[in-house]
Amino acid sequence: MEIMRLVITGCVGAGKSTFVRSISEIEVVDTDRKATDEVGQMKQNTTVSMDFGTLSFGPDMSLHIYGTPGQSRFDFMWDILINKAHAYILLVAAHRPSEFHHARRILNFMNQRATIPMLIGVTHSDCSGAWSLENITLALGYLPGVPQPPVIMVNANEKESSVDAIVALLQLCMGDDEATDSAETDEELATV
Amino acid sequence: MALTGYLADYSLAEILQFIQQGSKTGLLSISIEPNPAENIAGVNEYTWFQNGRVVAHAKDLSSFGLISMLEKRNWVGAETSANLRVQSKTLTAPLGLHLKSINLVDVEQLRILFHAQVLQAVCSLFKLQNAKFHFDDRASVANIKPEMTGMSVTAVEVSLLGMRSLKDWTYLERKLPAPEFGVQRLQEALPEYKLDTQETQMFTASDGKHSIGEIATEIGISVRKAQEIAFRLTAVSLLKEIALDSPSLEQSLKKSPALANSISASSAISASSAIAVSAKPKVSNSFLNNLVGFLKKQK
Repeated sequence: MEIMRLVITGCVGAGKSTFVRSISEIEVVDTDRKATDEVGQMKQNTTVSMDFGTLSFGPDMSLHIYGTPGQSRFDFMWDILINKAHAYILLVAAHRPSEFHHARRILNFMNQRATIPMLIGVTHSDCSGAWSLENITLALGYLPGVPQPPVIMVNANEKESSVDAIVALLQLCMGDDEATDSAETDEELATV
Repeated sequence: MALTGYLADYSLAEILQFIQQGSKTGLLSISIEPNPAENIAGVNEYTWFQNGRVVAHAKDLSSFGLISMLEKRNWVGAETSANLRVQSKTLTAPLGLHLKSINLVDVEQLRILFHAQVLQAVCSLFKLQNAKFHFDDRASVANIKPEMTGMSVTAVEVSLLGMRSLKDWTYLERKLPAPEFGVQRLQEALPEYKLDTQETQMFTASDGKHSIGEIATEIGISVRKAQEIAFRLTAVSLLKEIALDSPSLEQSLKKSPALANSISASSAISASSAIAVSAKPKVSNSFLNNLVGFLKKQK
């Protein structure tokens, strides 16, 4: 069985659980619990361990999708999940600038732990007070003129939009693979 | 595109870092609605930026703030002041530079004006925790020549000054880096602007290998103080946070009773071990191609 592991990360309320549910063919295994702290003001339940969904597209090929908890006190899970991931998507709610600092912290954490293809999915961009993609990218620490990951709008409630995000990420993975293959071929030629 | 929000959500330090990093030009308005019932006075403050630098500040949009400052200090007479108010509408250069060119003020006086108009005023904004902000990057600075001394300062320099003077860090509490986080310098040399002694010590000790708690012990300050200094230097883009070794599940449960209540250790361990036991083999190109094809059919 060939398995690709995709991690969906981001702050509380960014749409991670919804994203995993929109893609998964199985009933998502979630570990949502009633939020008992300030998170309770934003949503009733929050993911404390992870969400898990799958998508099989052949007898021996499957995509495993893991949604991380949003709160940093669960960051032991971030570590476990990102270390085994092949790629990840950071979801950022465009209308919650109060969470950008935390999103930046997650981004730094993930990038320190793993060098894998990633993209930023901006959710809630139709909400009042939503920031533009350009300004969110800047708030996350990507300076103008410096290479940055793709940033796309995502509506986690719509399967089509989640699919678009994953396809964009897979295309990045293919680009990465081609670059790696090319480097390996160059090395082989050099040794000959 | 205009940005709107509350300083309690997106702090002034973050706004100033955003403006500098994006080399933004525009007008930042900060306001508090008056509420006589709760004895809250209204506040309106306006700060102009050009390419990420603070160029002027005023308490209203009359364009006469700088002239009023000159009057208050008796640096211009009534007649000159009246003439300046008329001339200010057609100024092509900052008022401060115009006054200097006609020998009405010298460089030192311009420095004093800029210090009072911009540095003191913007620093005092850091105390406003419940204010609303609005940043309009379409607002032109061409029309505010009468409020400009001709001097400017980077947004992060004024941010550093403001954060140094901040006594109550309550509203920034959740943004402070945790003591177990590390910090790493983003540049080797000290910045051109002056850091205070503790900031310099923190900057020098930030090697990305030691936690903020360890650095606090090393330089002899409280952990809380070290967290505040680390936040300050991070907000002016001198340091970045580094996640050192992640706490284990057991450590996390110990640290957070809420976590222990909401998840049993055994279920978390079994969930995490499901992914932890297996290695990470490379995904083949044919797998990626098949998946893309499959997903596109799903749409």
